Amino acid sequence: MKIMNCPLNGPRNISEFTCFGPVHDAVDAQSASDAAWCHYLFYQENKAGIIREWWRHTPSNYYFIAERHTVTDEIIATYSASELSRIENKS
Amino acid sequence: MAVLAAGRRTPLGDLYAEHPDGVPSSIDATLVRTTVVPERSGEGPIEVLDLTRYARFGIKGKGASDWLRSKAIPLPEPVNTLAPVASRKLDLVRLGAEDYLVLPQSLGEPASLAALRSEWESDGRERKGFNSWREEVWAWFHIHGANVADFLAKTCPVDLNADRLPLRSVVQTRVAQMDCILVRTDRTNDHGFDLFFDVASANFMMSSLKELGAA
Amino acid sequence: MIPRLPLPYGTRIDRGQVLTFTFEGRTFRGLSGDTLASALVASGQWLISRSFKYHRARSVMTMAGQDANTLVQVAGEPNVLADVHPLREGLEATAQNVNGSLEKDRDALLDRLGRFMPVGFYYRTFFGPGKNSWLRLWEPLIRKKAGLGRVDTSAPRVRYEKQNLFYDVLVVGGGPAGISAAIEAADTGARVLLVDENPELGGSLTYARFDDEPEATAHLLGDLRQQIKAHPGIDVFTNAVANGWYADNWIPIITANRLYKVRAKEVILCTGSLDQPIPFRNNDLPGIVLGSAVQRLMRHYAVKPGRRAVVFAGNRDGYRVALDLVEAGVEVAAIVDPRTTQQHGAFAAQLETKGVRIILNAGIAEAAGAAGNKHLKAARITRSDADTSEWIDCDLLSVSCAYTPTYQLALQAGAKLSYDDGTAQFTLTNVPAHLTLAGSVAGNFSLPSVLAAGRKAGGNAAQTLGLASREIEVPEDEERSLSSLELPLVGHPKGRDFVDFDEDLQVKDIENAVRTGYDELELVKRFSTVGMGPSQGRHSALATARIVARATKRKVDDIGVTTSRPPFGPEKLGLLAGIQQSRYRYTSVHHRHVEAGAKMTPVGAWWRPLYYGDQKPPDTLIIDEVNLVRQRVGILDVSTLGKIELRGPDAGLLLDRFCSMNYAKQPVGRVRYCLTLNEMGTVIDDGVASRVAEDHYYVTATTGGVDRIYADMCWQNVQWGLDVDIHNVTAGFAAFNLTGPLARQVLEAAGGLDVSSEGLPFLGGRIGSVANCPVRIMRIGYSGELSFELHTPQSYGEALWDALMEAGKPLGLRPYGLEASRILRLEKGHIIIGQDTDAVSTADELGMAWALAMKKPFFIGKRSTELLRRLPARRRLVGFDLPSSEQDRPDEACLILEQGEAVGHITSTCLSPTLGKWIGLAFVPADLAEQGRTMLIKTRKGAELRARIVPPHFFDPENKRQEI
Repeated sequence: MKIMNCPLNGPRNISEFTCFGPVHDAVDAQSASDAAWCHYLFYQENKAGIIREWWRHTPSNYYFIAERHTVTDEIIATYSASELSRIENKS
Repeated sequence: MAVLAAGRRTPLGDLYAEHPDGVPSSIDATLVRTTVVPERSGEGPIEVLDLTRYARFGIKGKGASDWLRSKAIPLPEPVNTLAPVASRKLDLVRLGAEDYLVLPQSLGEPASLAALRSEWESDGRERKGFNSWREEVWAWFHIHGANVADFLAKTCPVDLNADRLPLRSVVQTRVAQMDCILVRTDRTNDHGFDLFFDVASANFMMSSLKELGAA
Repeated sequence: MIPRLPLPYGTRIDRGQVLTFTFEGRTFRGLSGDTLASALVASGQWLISRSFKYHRARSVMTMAGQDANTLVQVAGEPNVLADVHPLREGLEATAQNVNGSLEKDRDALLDRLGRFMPVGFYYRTFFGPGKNSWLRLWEPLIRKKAGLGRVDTSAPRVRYEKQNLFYDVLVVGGGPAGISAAIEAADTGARVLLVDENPELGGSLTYARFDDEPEATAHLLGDLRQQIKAHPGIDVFTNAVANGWYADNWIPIITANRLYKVRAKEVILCTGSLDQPIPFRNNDLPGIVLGSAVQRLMRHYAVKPGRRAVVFAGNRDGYRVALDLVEAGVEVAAIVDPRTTQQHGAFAAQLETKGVRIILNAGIAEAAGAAGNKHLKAARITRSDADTSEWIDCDLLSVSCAYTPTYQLALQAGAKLSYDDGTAQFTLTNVPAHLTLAGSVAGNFSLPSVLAAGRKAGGNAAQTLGLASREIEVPEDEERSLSSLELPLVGHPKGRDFVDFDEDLQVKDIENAVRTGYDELELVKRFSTVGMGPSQGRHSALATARIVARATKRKVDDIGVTTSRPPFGPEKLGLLAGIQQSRYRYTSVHHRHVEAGAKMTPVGAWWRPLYYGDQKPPDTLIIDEVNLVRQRVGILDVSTLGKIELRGPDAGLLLDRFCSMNYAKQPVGRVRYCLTLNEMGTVIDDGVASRVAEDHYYVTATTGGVDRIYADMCWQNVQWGLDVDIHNVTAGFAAFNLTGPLARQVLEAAGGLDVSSEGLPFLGGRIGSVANCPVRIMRIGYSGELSFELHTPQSYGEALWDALMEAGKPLGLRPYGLEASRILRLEKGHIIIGQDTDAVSTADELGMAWALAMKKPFFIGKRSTELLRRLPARRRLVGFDLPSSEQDRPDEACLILEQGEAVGHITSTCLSPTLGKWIGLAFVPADLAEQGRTMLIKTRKGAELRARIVPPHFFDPENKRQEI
């Protein structure tokens, strides 16, 4: 059983968490072209390497971000979702 | 929704006593103790108390922290700790940045809790958090015994051992395969945890604990 | 009973306590502390099992529970390892996998038919003679032949438990290295768990011979055990197997009927190494035993393993075993050493003074058995420097030649296995962080270096934990290069030189697998089944790697071993299951339903009334309940509905984005339908939103959908950054639907807030009290009748229910169940999410375009709905009806046929008590959805029924009844 470090609750068994999928670039649904919208809906990059994902600690209903290596399954970092906007503003 | 009716009942069939505030006067007189692990050679029993009918009060959401501060109530730091509020005879449990559960320090003396609650309800300010219905959404058990950490280790994936998890720690995790919040209160002066969990699963929790305790 | 060896032999037995037991129906006697196998061997009963394929006689090989030769049936339990199973008074054991008896196994004939069963023969046989020969003929036959043991289906219920444990340091293996590691780590203040699969700590110190005299070893062992016992920081589990390594140092430890899930910050593996057999013809005869097993038999159980022994000594331990045998009074006829020069001069001198003959440059070509090949009779010794060979009579052949590290857990954790040609051993490298190896698993063999390596590992683990530890030097290990020897692996021309004893695989079988084209190890394994038996390659992996290396002209290092996966040893399903508890949730009036005679049914974790009573057939009871609602008044417990509080200035905005209608514009005091789509435009849930205040909505969701809806809402809220608090109060509120023409009268009788059509119009929502219970009341319902949904804090649930039942008694109020509710809603054409919808149903297909506020700037699913609307419509959910008939009926999931092709299916159907005909909903292609059209339903009986497509609002299409 893997351990994930919840920014709120500390290290816990991964079974206490739910993955909510990769963090997407924001897509404006109404202005996106049909092709762009379908790409957003159905195309998963499935990258080999470090990806950024939404996770939820279920017992405390806490949502946060985890960076995970899809090849080694190593959890590299976890942080609050508010960090996300900070990171995105920087890049 | 301040109207009170007679005949409120807990899932395990406890009647809320016929007091105007719905709370009986003492913890021991009418409380049912359920032994989940009997006394064994040299080791005390593990018992469960159903505290569901006792008053508690939760506020959460934007403004909750500010409101408590405005009442000169020190906030527990960090999240997932309990801080006693001596001046008001209350225990304040912090579950999130803006999520609080208030418990009476003495179960038999609910007046201070009722007072805080009415202060909050009558406060006209715009942001003060929201009532989180903790007295209805959650059942409230207390489980205690010298070996309670070992016992709960059969169903709880977090290390609850007394020397690793100090008094007043809060753990939001899973017990009996469901979400559960454990607060180490040592309420009976024994090693013990308050458990807060889905009120509709109170029967299940009790039967689970009994089955785990059966030899 | 044959006399046992004198003290100090027999450290595990109590000579004063004789136990009686039976094996194969014969009565035997053993001693307390014996294992089943040690007691049998002590009584002269070497034959314990028959091999899997050829039914050859087999006996103890490792005495450590590491081989399949000792698998027996003990009472109702199959596959018990006799060499580690404790003997008990009255124990009844039988052999497995025999046709007839163990002594006279009719299938022993198979041993002569070996040439008809070459490696992989089952992949090429069993296809004929007929079409179904496999199922009818071969499979039952093979199942009967291949099964081991017999399951007792009437076995009593056994309790299996699981428990989580948390330690700073877990030490796996309680030999000299493990004990030293545990003490060193605990000395620094770490909390340590030390586990060992044996009944007592000590590992090789309990049976093996070292450079010092046995008394000195015994003294050291006693001292180490005493230190462990006295140490407050060390917990010890014996008879406990660490059965795998899982991510982040999560180790299952099995002891008796308990599975401990141990999480350790640091793990130290002192798992030792496994004594390896050598291949020669008939190397599986009873009496041919690994050197360590000979020592275990003598030291642990005081069993004299033979009268005249030949000792194969490819390493130093062979000489030590020979000394042990001589001291125990066993005649050692010869030591067979394959090496050209004497490597162990001191031992050799000692043995020669005792008259033991040492033959260098020697090997064992074959062994011969006594009658029926049930025990070793003689071994044929060859010499590489001479053409002659010599038969030596013996009843014991002890084999010491090579070790493999017990690498399984380390490999599971990610370590890499290499082969060192210099020491002729596998070595473990790339050991991951928070894992340390010590002892012979790490290549430490001389006792001083084993002890020091253990201490060093304990100290290093402590240091990683931030505890102060001391520097430890590990002395040079001169034994390492003398522990293993690589023998040339040339098969005997006549075979029966076993590489894998579990699967009866010989040298030529592995060679043939490679020759057949399976030249990668993982393929060799799958084709030949090498390593797939109960001992999982513990004794075959090294030999297989060498054979494959030679056959493919590669290095052993390039071959390696097959992927190691948990579990290490067998584990019972009961251990994995543990105590089975299925969650159940009760509403606040569950007991009222039970008292009223409800037939309860699970809906997810919830239990809900299906219908009430048992005095009539269920169908009649359900029709009565429907009629009750249509004609008078009924009450349905809907407490299981999801309930979510949305509060804050952005509550309306959040709902506008999350659900499909207009909510920000919804007046306070009104209730509005909520349809929830996903981004693909699929309908995923529905419910209602009651606007309690400007900044407060009370939202319901379906019983099964609320957890997902709540989680998704919270997740979106985090991303959207809105100022709204979302709170799941599902269990916190009881909810009852009071419905029927007399519903209002019940509420008036109960007393409370104004429920007149003016005070509470259709789709109105109010807060107040009913019968002195606080309620949120909504004029909504599923049945199409005048309906009030009352929500009250769950602690008031019983009080409100009782008050309503009391008030409604004169009006005939009774509760009704889910079955009646499903009929009532179908008569109104209301869909059930998940029953009338699937993973791709859109609101348009469901005829619910009215619920989509497409003028809103955004809601989840809007974009896809717009896109889909530009494509041709694919299918529609339509209503249908057909007359009631005695002969046949439509059912849910029945197909809709068009020109013989299946084009759709029924999602809901019932014989409407109100309308007296079959009604239902079905998906049909859009171009066949025309009203008035006839469609064909294929019934479960296979007949075809003609149904008419009609609007789905079967009853009261103008909705007059619910709005009074």
